[in-house]
Amino acid sequence: MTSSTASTFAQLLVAVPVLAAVVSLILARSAPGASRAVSAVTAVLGFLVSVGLLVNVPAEGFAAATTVGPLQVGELKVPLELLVDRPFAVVALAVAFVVACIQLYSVWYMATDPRGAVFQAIVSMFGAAMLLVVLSGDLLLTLIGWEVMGWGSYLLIGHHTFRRSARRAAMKAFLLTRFADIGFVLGIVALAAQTGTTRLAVIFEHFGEGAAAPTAALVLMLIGIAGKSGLIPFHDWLPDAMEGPTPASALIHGATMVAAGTVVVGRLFPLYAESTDARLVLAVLAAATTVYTAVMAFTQNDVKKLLAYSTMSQVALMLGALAAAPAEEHGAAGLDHLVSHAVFKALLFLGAGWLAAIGGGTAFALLRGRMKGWGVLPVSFGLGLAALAGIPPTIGFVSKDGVVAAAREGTTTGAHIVLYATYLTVFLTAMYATRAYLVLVSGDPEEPDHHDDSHTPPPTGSSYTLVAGVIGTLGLLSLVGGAAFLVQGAHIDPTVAAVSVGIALLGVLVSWALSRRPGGDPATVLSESWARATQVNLGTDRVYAGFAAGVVALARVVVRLDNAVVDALPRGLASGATATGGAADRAHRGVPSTGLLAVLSGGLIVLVLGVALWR
Amino acid sequence: MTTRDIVFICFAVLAAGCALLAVTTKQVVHAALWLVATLGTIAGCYFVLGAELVGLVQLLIYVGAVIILVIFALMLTRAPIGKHDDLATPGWQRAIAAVVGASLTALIAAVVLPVVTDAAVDIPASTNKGVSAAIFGVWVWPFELLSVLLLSALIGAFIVSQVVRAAGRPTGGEGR
Amino acid sequence: MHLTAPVLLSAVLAGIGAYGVLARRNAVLVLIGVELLLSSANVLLVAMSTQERPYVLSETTSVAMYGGQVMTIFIITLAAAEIVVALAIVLAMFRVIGHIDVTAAPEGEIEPATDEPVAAAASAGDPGSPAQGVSGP
Repeated sequence: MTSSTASTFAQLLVAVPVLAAVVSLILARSAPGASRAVSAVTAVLGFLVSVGLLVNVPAEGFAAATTVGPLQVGELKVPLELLVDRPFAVVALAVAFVVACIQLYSVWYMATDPRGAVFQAIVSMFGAAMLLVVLSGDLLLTLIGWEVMGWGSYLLIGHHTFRRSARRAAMKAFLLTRFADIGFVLGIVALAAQTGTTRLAVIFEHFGEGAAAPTAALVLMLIGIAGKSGLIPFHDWLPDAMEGPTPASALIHGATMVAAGTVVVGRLFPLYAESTDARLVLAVLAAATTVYTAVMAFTQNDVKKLLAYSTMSQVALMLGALAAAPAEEHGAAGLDHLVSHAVFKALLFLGAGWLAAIGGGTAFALLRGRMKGWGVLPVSFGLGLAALAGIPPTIGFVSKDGVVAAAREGTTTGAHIVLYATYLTVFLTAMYATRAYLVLVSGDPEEPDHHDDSHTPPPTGSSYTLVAGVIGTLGLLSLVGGAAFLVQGAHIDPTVAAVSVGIALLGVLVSWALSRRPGGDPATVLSESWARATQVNLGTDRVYAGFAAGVVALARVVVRLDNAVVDALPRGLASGATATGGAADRAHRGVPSTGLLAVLSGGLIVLVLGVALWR
Repeated sequence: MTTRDIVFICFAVLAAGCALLAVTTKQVVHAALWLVATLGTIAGCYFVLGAELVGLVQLLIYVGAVIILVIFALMLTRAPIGKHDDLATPGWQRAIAAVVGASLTALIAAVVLPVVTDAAVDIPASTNKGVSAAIFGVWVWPFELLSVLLLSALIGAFIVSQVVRAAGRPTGGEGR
Repeated sequence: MHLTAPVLLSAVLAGIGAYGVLARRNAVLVLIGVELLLSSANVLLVAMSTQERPYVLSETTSVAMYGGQVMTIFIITLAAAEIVVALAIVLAMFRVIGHIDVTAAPEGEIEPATDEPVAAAASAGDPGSPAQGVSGP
């Protein structure tokens, strides 16, 4: 069963980016050029290793691999091993591929950035963390990768340290995900406590043998997953995270952090399949998030924000598929959609970075019609949007069809909720994808009112070749990648496909019809005030701030209670003693003879008491 | 009731009486002299109890040196000669002092007497040799330590007087 | 002989000593009370030393400690040291504030570096004799 070649590749796949991150971080200050080269080359190398892993991974079952050797913590067994099977090898391939694309793209995009080498080193580290989560066979390793990603997201989002909004967004992402991680850690601890090990294979066995599903632990882990994946109520950090450089957004949204929740749920699918309650919670959260964020995406006036909301919507779809799929499906639909989303979302973000370089900003007002005449860009970007909308024959169509099919096959309440939410989302997604395309290819742009130095000039010469190559490759994959799923065993039910494509086309039509109105932007159908409210996510930030203020106020009350009530007795004793001492001090005029008298009398009384007690 | 008992009781009564006079007399110098008498009779008690060395040390150091110091101190602080009614603390303080003293006596008597009521002990002819051997054998380190203590007391007394002098003012007593 | 009388003497001396400490207003006379208290302890120690048995080290050897008598000699030495320091302090007190009356309330801070306490003490009365201006609390 265990393939030693696959194990070696799995070890390499984690080790290479880790080493790359360390080496390039060391070189970043002294030799930024070499550091960047290390990052880019090792990213490509990592992609090749992931191909090797996929080729060698056993078709059935798992391949295990050791890392730094097992830990024995008291009663707890922590093997620290990697575990890889075919679906996760595919996910690892997608991650390594996207990281490689982003590293190559960053060579151009971050060329003028003085801290570009550091940025690329962090991207390597981020990729290593995500690959660790994907390949982890041990809950502790999962947690390590998970937390390193949280830290990396802070560094990447806050890369432009000179901007206050970037620093705030980084802090917000970090605090929100850290807050949610409390649940994740508690869930892991609960699982480890029930089984006495953090080894996934043993945990599956333990709960597979008729033990009651660990619903509480699974729901706790869902909190952390909701935090990382931006599910309601943690849905406000992702739009703010657009403060980071565009490659960072592509990385976080495409294949890593946001998708990590899907990976973990997919990895623990055998457990989640047992627990209907935990899956219902996930289904409700995912359904609410996917619809809500699709609506938000439609009205955004910034291309990156639109993509951010669309990411949340799509990730919620993946999680919905995992929540709805019947137990025997092994959650393949969700993971397939993760892979396809990684491809087309990376494409869209990298394209948005190019657009920002052309237009000097990411607001739609600056980018109106800017996409015309850049060769591969409009074609690829259009293919990415088509994949997002689920138009056949793109990769998005195939994987979204899998999600719909999984939701239809599910028999639980959660599955029904997810199904209707998915239909609604397909419609909304088609609308906003169409809107984005129409706005970008038609109309005249505004000139930026001020020149922003943080934006890179458009690519020329060899960097144009590089960027166009990356974008073109991603565009091609978006178009034909779906075939790979079909080869892997995904199948398309004509009825299901017809319904979902019909809904998507309806969305496209509606959006197109709306764009005929004056102004050319379908989103202008909404009232001014509503449009403004959606720009700030309906004030979620204020809700967070209010929540935090409430917690702080509560803490103040507790402190005051602690001071006034709990500490009152010792405090009273102390002040009583002080007051008595003060009174005695005032009464005592320092006359030696009375002092002597008091001391001797007191000593005698103590003596008498002592003797009396001793007797 | 042996001869020793009787002799001891005589010394004890004398000692107690002299002590009482030492704390109640109205002449300052008399108090010091009654203390001499007290300590001397207590030395007699030690002899009766067979502790000859202790009695000799008592006579030598207490009656000899310490009393001289006390009398010197009285003279240096210009103790009045003759009867003086104002040597005692206010009446209420003396009343409490009497109660405290009586209580202390009662307490010690009540605690220690039951231990020794039935004990009839033989007093050995001489213990000097044994005590000397013990001081320089078993107790030699505490003994050496005491010599250091005496030295530091000497230095301490010197420093106390020097510090007051160095405080930069003429001595109060001389100025009057 | 019996030890009842020595113990009683010790108890009586302790009581008288305590009274002497508390009933005298001249600091030197207070020290006389202290000497009586120490003597009380000495008498008890010597009395009890008559009951002392050699300290048994093993089946064949034992050491005569004479703890009571040796302690008494030590206490006498200690008393000598004590009286030296105490009298030095009393003399210093006399020089600084002009009297050695322990019933007198200190007037202000006792600060040898300034002249105020001296001036205050000068008006307090004849040094060494009980201060005239002092009354009970």
